[in-house]
Amino acid sequence: MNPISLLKSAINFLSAPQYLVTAMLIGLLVGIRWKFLWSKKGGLMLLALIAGGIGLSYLDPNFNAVATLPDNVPIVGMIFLVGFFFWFAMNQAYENDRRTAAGLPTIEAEDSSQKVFSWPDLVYVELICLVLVTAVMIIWSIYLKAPLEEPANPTDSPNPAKAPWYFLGLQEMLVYFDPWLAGVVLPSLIIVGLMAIPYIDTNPKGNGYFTFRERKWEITMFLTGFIVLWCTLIVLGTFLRGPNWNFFGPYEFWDVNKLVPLNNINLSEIIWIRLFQKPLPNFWLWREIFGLAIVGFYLFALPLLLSQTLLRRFFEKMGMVRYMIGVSLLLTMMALPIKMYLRWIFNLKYIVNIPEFSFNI
Amino acid sequence: MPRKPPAEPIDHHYNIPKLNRVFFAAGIVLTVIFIGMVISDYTRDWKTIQRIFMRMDARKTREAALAARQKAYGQERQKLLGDLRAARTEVASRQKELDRLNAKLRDLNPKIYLADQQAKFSKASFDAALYKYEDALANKPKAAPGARKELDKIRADLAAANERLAERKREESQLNEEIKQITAKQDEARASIEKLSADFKLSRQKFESLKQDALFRLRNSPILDMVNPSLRVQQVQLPEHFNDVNFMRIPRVDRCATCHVAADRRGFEEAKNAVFRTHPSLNLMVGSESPHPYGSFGCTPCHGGRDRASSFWSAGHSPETEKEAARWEKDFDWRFDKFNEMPILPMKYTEAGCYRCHAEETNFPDAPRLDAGMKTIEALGCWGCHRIEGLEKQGLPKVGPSLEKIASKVSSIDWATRWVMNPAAFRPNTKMPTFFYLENFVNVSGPTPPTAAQQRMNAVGRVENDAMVNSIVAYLAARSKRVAIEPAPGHGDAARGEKLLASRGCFGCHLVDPHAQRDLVGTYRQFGPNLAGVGSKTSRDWIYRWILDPKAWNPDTKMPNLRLSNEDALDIAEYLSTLKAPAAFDAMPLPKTDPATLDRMGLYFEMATKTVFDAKADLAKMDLPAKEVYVGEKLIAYYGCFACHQIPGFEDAKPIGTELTEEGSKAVHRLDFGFVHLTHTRQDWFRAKLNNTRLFDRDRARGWEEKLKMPLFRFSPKELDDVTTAVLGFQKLNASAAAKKELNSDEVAIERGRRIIKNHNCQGCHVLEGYGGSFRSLVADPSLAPPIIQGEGAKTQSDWLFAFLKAPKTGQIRPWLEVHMPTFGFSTDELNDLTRYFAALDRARYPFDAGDYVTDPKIWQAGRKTFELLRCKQCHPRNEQEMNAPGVDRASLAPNLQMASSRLRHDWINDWIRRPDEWMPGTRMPTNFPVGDGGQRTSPIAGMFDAPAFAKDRQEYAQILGGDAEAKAFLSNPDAITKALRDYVWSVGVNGGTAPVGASPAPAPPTSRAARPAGGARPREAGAP
Repeated sequence: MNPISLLKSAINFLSAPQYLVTAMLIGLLVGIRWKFLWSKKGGLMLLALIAGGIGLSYLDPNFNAVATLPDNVPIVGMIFLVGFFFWFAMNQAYENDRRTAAGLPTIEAEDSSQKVFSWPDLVYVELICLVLVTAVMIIWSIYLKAPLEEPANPTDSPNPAKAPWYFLGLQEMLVYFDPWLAGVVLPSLIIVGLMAIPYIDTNPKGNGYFTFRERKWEITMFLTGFIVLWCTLIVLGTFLRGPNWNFFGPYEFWDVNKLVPLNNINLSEIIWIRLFQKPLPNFWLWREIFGLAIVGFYLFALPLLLSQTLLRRFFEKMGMVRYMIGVSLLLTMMALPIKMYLRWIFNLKYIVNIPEFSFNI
Repeated sequence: MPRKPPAEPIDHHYNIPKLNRVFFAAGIVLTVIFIGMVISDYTRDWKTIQRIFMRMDARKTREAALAARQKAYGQERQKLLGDLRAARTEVASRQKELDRLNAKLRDLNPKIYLADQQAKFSKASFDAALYKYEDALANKPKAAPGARKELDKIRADLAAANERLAERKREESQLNEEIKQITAKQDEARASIEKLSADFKLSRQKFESLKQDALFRLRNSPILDMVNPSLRVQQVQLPEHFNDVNFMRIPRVDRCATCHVAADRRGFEEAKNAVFRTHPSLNLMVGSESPHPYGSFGCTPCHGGRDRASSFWSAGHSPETEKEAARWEKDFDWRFDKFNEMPILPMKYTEAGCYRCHAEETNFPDAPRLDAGMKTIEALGCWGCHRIEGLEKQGLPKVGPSLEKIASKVSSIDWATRWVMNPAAFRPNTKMPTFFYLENFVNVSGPTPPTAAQQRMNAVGRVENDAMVNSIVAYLAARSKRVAIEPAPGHGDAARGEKLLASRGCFGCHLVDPHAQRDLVGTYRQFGPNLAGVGSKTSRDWIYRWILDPKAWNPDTKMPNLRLSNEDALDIAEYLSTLKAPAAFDAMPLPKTDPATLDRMGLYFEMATKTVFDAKADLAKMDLPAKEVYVGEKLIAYYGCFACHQIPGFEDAKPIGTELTEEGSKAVHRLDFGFVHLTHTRQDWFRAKLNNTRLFDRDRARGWEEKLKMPLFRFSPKELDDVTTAVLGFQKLNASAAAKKELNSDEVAIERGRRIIKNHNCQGCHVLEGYGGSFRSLVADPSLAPPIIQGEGAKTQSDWLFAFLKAPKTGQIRPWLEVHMPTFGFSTDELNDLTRYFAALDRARYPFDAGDYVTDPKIWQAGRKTFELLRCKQCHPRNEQEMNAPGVDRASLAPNLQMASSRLRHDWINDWIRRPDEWMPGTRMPTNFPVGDGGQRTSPIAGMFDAPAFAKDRQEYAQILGGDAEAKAFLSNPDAITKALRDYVWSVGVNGGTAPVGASPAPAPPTSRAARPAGGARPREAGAP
C-alpha cells in the first residue's frame, strides 16, 4: 500500500465518531489553553492545516463526490467560518488578558474611549457588506443549483435520509438517544438553556470585551457544547454518515451494501442477566430499578453533591436556584457525551428501557 | 432647539474617501453581477433552439415562397393579365352605363340605411307593445283592449317597414346584378390572378412572420418578454396521464415541444440535429390523425422523463452508450440524475413505452423490438418463474416438455445428466437455460484472477453443482412413470424418411441443424426442438410411437398429429434415430456426488421444518440415493424447474421468481448491484442481469443457498436488447382508463385468435396477417407450399372452417400437396375463437348465413357458358366422378368445386376469380382478368368478341342475355362475368350444377354439410328452378 492510501486509511479509521469526538474534546480542552495557537502565526498554521487538508482531499474522488454536493458546500464554509471566529475571539481574549495583566486597558476599552457617528462609520460599512454579500449570494445561487429532488415518496425514501444541515447534530443524537429525548426534550432544553444563560450567569466579567482568563470555566463549557457537541456533529452528519446512516471515512466509497452490526444491550440486561444470571423481572419498575436509580442520582443527587465539592465555588456565588438550574442544564448537556461513550465502550443501548410506556433513556 | 452640528473636522473611525471607493467598487460589482443574473435567467437553451428553428423554418418557407412566386409570375399570369386587359377595355366601352348604375347604387345606399333603421325601430316598438299587451292580459285585464289596439297598429307599421326595406334591397341586388353582368369577365380574370398568386402570398406572409426583426427582438427582450413573447414554453396538458406523487396524482403537463419544435410537423424528417426532427412515425404517434395524437398523449406518457422540464438535463434524457453520455456531458452539460425515478427511455428501448397500455395484445407489429422481446419472453418461459400479469391472463402452456415419463423416454439417464449439466453442449440453440457450473459457483471473481480464498470457493462450488445435477436427475428418474414402448414394426427407409421429414411439414416447427443458433424471432422453425442429435436422446421405437400420435404419449403436448401413415412414420423414425449427439457431449465426464456436500444440502433443506437434531437424525436414516432423491426434489423446488416442465410432485407449485408485472417502474435502489460498478439505471441492471444472471454475486462469499439462482439463457446482444425493452415496459400505468387501449369485442376475438395461433405456431407454415410462413421458403414451387392465409374469414364459411380446423383431412382441398395440415386437437373453445378470429380480422359476417342469396337464371346460364368457355373444368373437378375419372392426375387438380357452396362464402368466390394473384401470390389459379392500363381489371373475352372464331359463342351469349349489346356489355365487364361464374360454381355444390340456386332457403347447417356425402343434390334443393 502506498503512503497516501495508508494515510487515507488512517484518517478514515480515526474519523469514526468515537475517535473524532474524543479528539475534538481533548483538542478543545488542550488547545484552548495553548496560547500559541491563538497568535497570528498559530492561526495561519491552523488555517494552512485545515485548508490544505480539505483542499488536498478534494483530489480523492470519494471525498469530492460528497463534499461538492450543493447541500454540503455550506458546511465546508462553516468549518472555516466557525474556525475563524473561534480563533478571532481567542486571539482577542489572550491579547486582552495580556494587557490586563500589564495594567493596560483592553482593546475594546481603548477603542470605545473615542465616539463616532453611526453614519457613516457604522451604517456605511454595513451597507458595503450588504452589497458584497448580496453579490456573493447571487453568484452562489446561479452556479450551485438548489439540490431539489423528486416529490417525497414514502416507499422510496432517499438513502441516507438527512435532516437539513443545521439539524444534523440532532439527527446524530438519535443514534444514541430515544427520539423523544433526542428529538423533543434535548432540543427544547437547548433553546431554553440558551435563553436562560443571561439569568443564570450574572457575572459581569467579560461584558463588552474578550477575555479568557476571567471566564475559563464558562467559555470552556460553552465551547464544548457548541464546537464539540454541535458543530462537530453537524460535520460528522454531513460528511461521514452515508447510506443507512452508517459511518464512512472521508475517503471511503459510500457503499449501500455496507453492514455494521448493532449489537447493543440495555443496562437491565447487563445487570440482571450477565451479572446476576437471573431472568429479567417482568415488572418494569423492578427490572429498571438500577437504571432509574442511576438516572435519578445523576439528575437529583449529583447537583447537590457537586455543590459541596467540585462546584462549591459556583454554588456559593450563584445561590441555590441559579445553581440548580445551571447545573441541571450542564448535566443534561454532558449526558450526550456520557451516553456516547457508554455506547462505544459498553455497547449500551438504554440505561432505562421501559417499552411499556415507550420510555427510554 | 435645533441640535448643533458637530464640530469640524468630524472624527471618523474609517477613512471615508476610501470607504467611498470601496462602496463604488462594490456597487459596480453588484451591478455587473445583477446584469449577469438577468442574462443567466434570460438565457435558456430552448430559446436558442426556437430561434434556430425559426431560421430553418424561414429558409424552408422562403424556398416554398420562391417556388410559388415562379408559379404566380409565370406564363399563366401573362395570359391572365391579357385577359384582364381585354376585359377592361370591354368594360370601358360600357363605362357610361356602368357609371349610371353605380350612381344609382350610391343614391340607394342612404335609403336602404334609413329603411333598415325604420324596420329595426318598429321591431323594438313592437316588442315593447307586445310585452305591454301580455302584461295587461295577465295583470290588468281592463287595459287589455287598449293595449291590443296599440299593438295591432304597431304590427301594421312593422310589416310596412319590413316591406319597404325588402323593396329597397331588391332594387340594390338588381343593380348589382346589372353591374356584375358588365364586369363579370374582368372580375373573373382578377380572381384567377388572385388565385394564382395565393400560395405565394401566403408563404410570403409566413416568411415575414418568421423574420427576427426589431419587433421580434423587442417582444423577446428581457423583462418585456412577460407581455407577449413569440419565444415561449410550449406545453400541452394531459388530463388523462398522471405523475404519481404518492398521495395524489397530478396531471402531466408536457413541455417537450418547447425544444422539439418540429415533432408534429412534416417536412423536417431529415433535419441534421435531432431536436429539430419530425417524429419518425407520425402516422402512429404525435400526428393529429394518428391513434396517439400529441394533444392527448404528449410525449412523456410513452417516452418517460420529467414532463414539466424545459432543459435537456432536467427532462431526463438518457444516453444509449457511454460515448453518447460523454458527448452529452461535454455539449449539453448533461449529468446522471439519480433522483429522476422515470427518466426518458434510451432510444433503443423506446418501445418499452407501448406495453403498459397494450398488454392485452399478442403481437406488436409496430414495435418490432418489443414484439421480439415479448416473443422471446414467451418462448423461453420467463413467465413460468416470474409472474407477468399481462402474460398470465393469456394462459400460456408450459414451454418445456413433460418430464413425467422421462425415464422411459430418454435413451439413458446419463444423457439427462449431461443435458442438465450443459444443455447447449447437446443443442446450441436450445431454449433450455444453463443452471449449473455458472460464474457464482465456479468462478466467483469473474474476469479478475481469483485469490487463494476464491479458488477454494470455486472448487467447493463445482462440487456443489455436481451434487445438485446428480440429485435432480435422481429425483426425476425415481419419480418418472415407467411405460413400456412397443417396438416399431421392422425397419424403415432412412433416406425416404429424410425426404418425408422435409416434405410432410415437420420443418414448419423443427430444424435439423447441429450448428443452428437460437433465433426465436426471425424464424418460426425453432418453435419445436432442433432434431439434430435426437437419435442419442431417445430410441427409434419411441420416435415412431411419438410421431404417429404425440398426444397419446402426452395429452398436453403442443406437437400436432400429422396423420402420417405407419410406413411414413417408420421411415422418419429410422432417419431421426441416425442423428447422433456431438461427440463432445457424449464425452462429458459425469459428475460424482460428494456425500459430505450432499449431507450439507440435505441438512439445509431438512432444517426448513425441523430442528437441527431432528434434521440430522432424519438424514442419517437415508442412504446416498435416497438423499439424492430428497435433495433433488428440494432443488427442483429451489430452482423452479417445474415452471417449464411438468414434473410429478410439482403440480401445484407456485412460481419462484420476482414478480415482473411492474418491474419497469421498480425503484432503482431496490435493484442489488452488489460489488459491480454499473450506472445505476434500470436498463443497465436488467441488461447486465440478463447477460450474466449470476453477475451480482461477483466477489461475494455466499453459501450455495444464498447465491443467485436465475439460470443463464445465453442471450445474444439482440435478444438482450429485445428482452430488456420488454422488461422495461412492464410498468405501472399512470393514466386513467380512458387513455388506455380498450379492446372492442372484435379486437378481443382477434387477440384470442392470435394467441391460439402463436401457441400452435401456425405461422411456421402459413403466412398469417403478413407474418410467418417459414416453411414456405423451403418449398421451391410456391403452389406446393402451405397456403398463405389471407382473407380466410372473408373466404370461408365459419362452420366449414370450424369443422376443417377440428379435423382436417389429407388431400381434402389441395390433393396435390405433400405437406399435411396437422390435426392440432383444438378444444371447442379454441375452434370457436379461431373461426371468430378469422371473421373479425376481415370484418366478415359472423356467423355466415347465405340464406338471402338468390341467383338469376339468365346470369347463371351465362356463368355456366363461361365456365365451359374458360375450360375451368380442366383443373376443377365438379364431383367425385370427375375427380377420380381414369387418366386424371390428382396431383394436378384444383379444389373440387363441389365443396364451394359449403366451404366458401359466395361473395368471395367472384372476387377470387377476378384477382387470384392478389389473394394468394403464387397460386396455380390463372389470372384471367389482368390489370389493364387504367389499373382496373379487364376482361380478355371482350377482345375476342368480334373474332370470327367466337361467332358461335357470341350468338349463344346473345341468346342467353337477350341481345348482342347486352352480351357485349356482359363480356367486357369482369365483375359481371365473375359473378355469373360464381352463381354457377355455387350451384355445383348445391345441385350438381344442374340449375340456378333459387329463392329456396339457405343451405342446411354446415356441420352436416361438411360431412355430406359426395355427389348429387340434396332433396330440399332439387326443386329449385
